[in-house]
Amino acid sequence: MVPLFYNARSLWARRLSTGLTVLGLGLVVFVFSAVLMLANGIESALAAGGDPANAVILRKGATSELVSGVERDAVRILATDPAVASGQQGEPLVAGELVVLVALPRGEQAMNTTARGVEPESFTARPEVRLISGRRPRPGTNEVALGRALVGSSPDATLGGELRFAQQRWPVVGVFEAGAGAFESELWADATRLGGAFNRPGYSSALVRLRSAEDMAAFEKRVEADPRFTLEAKPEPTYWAEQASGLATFIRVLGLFVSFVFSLGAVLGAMITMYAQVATRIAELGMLRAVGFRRRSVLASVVAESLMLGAAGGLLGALGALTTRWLHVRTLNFQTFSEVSFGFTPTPGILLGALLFGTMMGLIGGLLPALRAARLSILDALRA
Amino acid sequence: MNYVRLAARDLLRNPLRLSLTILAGAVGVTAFIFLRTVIDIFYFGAQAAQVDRLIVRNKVSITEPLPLSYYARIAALPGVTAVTHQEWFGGTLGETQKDFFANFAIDPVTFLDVFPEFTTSPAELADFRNDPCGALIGEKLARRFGWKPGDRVTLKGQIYPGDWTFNVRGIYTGTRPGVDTTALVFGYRCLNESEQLPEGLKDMVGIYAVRVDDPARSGQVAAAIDGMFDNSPYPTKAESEKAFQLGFVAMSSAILTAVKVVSAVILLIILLVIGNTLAMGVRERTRDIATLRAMGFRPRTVVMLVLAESSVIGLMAAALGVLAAPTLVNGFARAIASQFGQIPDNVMRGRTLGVSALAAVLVSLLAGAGPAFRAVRMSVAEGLRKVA
Amino acid sequence: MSLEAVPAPPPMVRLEGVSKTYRRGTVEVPVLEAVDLAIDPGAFVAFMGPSGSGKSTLLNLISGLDQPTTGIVEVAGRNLAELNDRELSDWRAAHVGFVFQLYNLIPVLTAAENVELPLLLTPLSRAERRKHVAAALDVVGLSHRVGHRPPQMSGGEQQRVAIARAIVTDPDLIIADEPTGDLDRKAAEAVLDLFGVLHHDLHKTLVMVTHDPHAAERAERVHHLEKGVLQ
Repeated sequence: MVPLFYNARSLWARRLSTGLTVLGLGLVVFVFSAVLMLANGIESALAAGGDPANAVILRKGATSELVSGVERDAVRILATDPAVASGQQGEPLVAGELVVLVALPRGEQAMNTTARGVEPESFTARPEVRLISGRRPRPGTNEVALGRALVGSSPDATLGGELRFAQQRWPVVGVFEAGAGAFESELWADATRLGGAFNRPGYSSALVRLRSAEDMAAFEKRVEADPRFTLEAKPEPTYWAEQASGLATFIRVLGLFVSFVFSLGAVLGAMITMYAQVATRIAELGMLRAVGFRRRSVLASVVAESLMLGAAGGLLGALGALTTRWLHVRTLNFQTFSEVSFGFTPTPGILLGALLFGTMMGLIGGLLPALRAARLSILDALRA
Repeated sequence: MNYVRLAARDLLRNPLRLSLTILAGAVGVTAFIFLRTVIDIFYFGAQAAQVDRLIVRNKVSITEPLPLSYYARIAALPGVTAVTHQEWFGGTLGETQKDFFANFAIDPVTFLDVFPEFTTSPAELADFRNDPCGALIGEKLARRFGWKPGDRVTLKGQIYPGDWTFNVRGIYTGTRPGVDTTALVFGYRCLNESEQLPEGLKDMVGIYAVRVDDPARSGQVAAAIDGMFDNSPYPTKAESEKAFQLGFVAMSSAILTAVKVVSAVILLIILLVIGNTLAMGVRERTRDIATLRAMGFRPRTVVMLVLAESSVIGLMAAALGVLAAPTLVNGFARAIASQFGQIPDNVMRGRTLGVSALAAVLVSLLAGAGPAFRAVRMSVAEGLRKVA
Repeated sequence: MSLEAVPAPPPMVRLEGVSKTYRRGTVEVPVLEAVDLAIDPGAFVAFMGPSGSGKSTLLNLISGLDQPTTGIVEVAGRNLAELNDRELSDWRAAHVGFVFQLYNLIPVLTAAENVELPLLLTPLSRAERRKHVAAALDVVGLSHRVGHRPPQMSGGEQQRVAIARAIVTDPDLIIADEPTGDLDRKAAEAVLDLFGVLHHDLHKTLVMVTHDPHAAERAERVHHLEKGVLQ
């Protein structure tokens, strides 16, 4: 085996070329891992908005709360189900909720924001929703609480500010966080007041907290079978994962498509560099063969060198992608017509994948040049 | 023998490296075109927007409805030549978003007055108007599912719960290339007079589309419409079709920005690959370049020779990339069609191809700049003795 | 100095108090010190000296590839310090022909194309260029090798192509840096014979740097350099 420091030194000797190649590979790995982190961020943002013991009740066939409708009577019936958990005062943890879109001004444009009409149980049933400043809106008033991601997104969207929509004024009295979930992109107001302002007599959905997540399957069946309404129940995490699937798929398909195409370019780049490395070292490689290194050792040596390039690129790209953690993205979810806010979320798997991806590109880029190096005739090589 | 020949010979010194570089560049150009086309798709609605058209929606948000009674009041305004309304139906073929396509309820009488870019045969149009639950489908949609006049299509409603069956009465086409023909439209009566209609949606419509006689006065007409309904329970927001479409684009701006950043990253990768190749070429030719300089070739000439090489690489990469791009874009369109609906034809615009090719050539020139600068900066006296 | 009425022709090359120092980090290394020199038109001058004696630097200064630290370099009546890089390029194209130890031919061009290269800098037409190339290759006796590329030729042949390239623009001054350094005896003699032709028949001014006493013998005058000082 040819010692590895020999490869490291020869890469260093041509550091401009090495640097350009590593940078190119690094950029590809960067895009690859950033895309995966983004798709992961969307999914965890939307899917984080869910507790497995909570059921979302929608009209049968409705794919989102926005197009769903649940009558007031149905909510009362649901509250009598034996699996429903109770609050501290013994009240059933069931809330009818109304979801509408409001266009809040942002500069010249407007952004579609989800306004959720809630009842006191909406807070109690979702322990992950915690006020970080101010207080809960009082029932029966126009007071609203903002998800953390909305603060500052529109001129009046701050604690103490006053929003205007549906020809009414809505003072902001609180800001809440929700474990980086989708609720952080929502504003919460009293369900009845919101329904009045939007001329909606019923609810969009109902939230039911069960005593235990294990009751979920049976509860789903009971809701499905109940002849008094045509509703269906699904676990809250499932509901939110479905809401995220379109956007996440879009970003994933687009990103992986682009990463694939990029990687072709980067592999060619690595190949160019490795061919040049072999070409400039023909005499050295001939010497190695002459002193007794086998073809296989020369092949391994060139491949190892290319792997170093790839691994360096992978490391650079993965580190670069990690810096995007501090970026936050706000965009329209095509499925719900409302804005969601999310970040780039790294996982050990993604980072490992990035390193592997970079190394693979190096491996593929180095293979043909390595074969050429191994096939050199000793005499020709020494003469060059 | 001339400069062109000299540059050509230098380029062909290492044919393998040249072809790898061109190939890598072409891959980059293809990816660049692809991403620019994705951006174009977002702007497609705004591109197709007509200057003489206004869209009137509920001021609260696009998902809130407007009363049908506004129709006559808008139509009576001076400067308005035609009005029609439509409702996003949002029905799906199955239980899921799979096989997604756009579907609207429209007013069969006035629809084509406001949207003259769609056309269908007079016979099919008459059939459509005579059937309360008749539907017209775009020719691209018809091709996708193999539907033809006489077929019945059942959609699962979400906003309008239940199963809704429509009779395909005709196929509409675009009067010019680039018109979106991927949607299904059906008569509003089918919806409004149905017993399945949810409470509160009777005599309500989604948006109004208004045609004005003079595009220059469309701002005044919009203001007049909004003013008329300002104090009603359903205030409106009227804006040009383009502004309406751009509103949607603006909400996706983060994604668009990401795509734009990535497309810039591609240019950077092309820059690195071509720059690397040229830098190697210049380094290997140090002695040749020094000899040329000693013989009296001006620095400018040497720079031109290097730049000529890089621009040839750029041109070849651009040409190859432009040839390969349509395949890639169509492949992507097929991959996402079932989830997001079809992508209109002609979405890959000549302008995008041109801009991408130009960007590739400029980037390759930029890539040549560093090596060219090195070539003239190095000491002639030292370069003459350098053994490559 | 005599007071003769007939003025001597101005020298082709005149160096006056020329010194050259290079910086190596913080250390200044003197390479040439206070060189005064005049070379008449049509002369054939050789410089000899051990490696590092400053021979090559001297050639670089005379051919305008490098500038002296102090002193004046005048060639064909022009003070080279007055010319900028672009003007120097044009000046070299018009007045100087180069012959190098390693021939410095462009490997991807044929012999004829290599010879034609400096003619690209002249306003000559394509047909005229071809005529000049043929004439130059005829002088060096390689008319039968026009279409060959440098890697297909022997060292001696390559050097003769380089000489053809040096004379094709009809320069006043030919600079040769170790022209026989990489050649065997026989090829070296052929190259030196050619220099004789350039000198006697074409009346070129030849300035040659060499290690080789055989080569130096052919020159009219031999200067010795020792540690940057002209002996």
